[in-house]
Amino acid sequence: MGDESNALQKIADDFVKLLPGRMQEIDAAYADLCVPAAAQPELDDFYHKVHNLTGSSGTFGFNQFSDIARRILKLLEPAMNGEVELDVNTVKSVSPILEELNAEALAPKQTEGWL
Amino acid sequence: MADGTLNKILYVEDEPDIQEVARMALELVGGFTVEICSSGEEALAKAAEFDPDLFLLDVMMPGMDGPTTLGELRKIEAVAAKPAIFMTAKVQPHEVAEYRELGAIDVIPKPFDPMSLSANIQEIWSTNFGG
Repeated sequence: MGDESNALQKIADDFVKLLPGRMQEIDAAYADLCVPAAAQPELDDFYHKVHNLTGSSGTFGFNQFSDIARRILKLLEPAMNGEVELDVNTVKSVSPILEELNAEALAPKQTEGWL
Repeated sequence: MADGTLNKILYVEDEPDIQEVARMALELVGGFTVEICSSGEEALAKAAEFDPDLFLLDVMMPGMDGPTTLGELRKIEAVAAKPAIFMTAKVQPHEVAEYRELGAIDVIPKPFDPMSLSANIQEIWSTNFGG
């Protein structure tokens, strides 16, 4: 592995170390989204947090984690795009996927040979 | 109108993890000079002084998104004609066509491979401008 690859792997390792904190932020944003008064700002905040983690994890080769996170984005996309109103059932349907994401975050699997 | 060699890239990306890995990919692997901005507003403030050869713009950012940022950059005379590439996970053909209509010369899918990002950008540059 070259110097660049080692440096990139170091960033990926740091990403994993910081992942529990990032998940706490996402869980808190989801809690805000679950309150009855939640509206577009809460949706934007939660969506962007998940979106950023989807991109980061995918870039670092944590494909399974990224795929789970992307399922949350897919669920919320119609509301984010303004095609439908955000409804309580959609918000509730995020919950089991978020649980799955939290479980994967405990020990995210990195695709072999991502670099 | 761009021509010649690609050296300076202004990259707009709100996610710190991606900023870090992209800087390494573009500077160490690609040998480019890179200025990274965390928001569209920061890019607008720095663009003229940095005078990049190319803008690399994340599409989805809180506040000013990539397409809006590009639209505002086009109003800054000093950099109005600089080419831009969007980076996004949304790369369905109709989505790519929309980004091209907004003025992007191409789109790089996210997540990207850090080791081949610079080569991808160089290939897009060469296809469009030679060099």
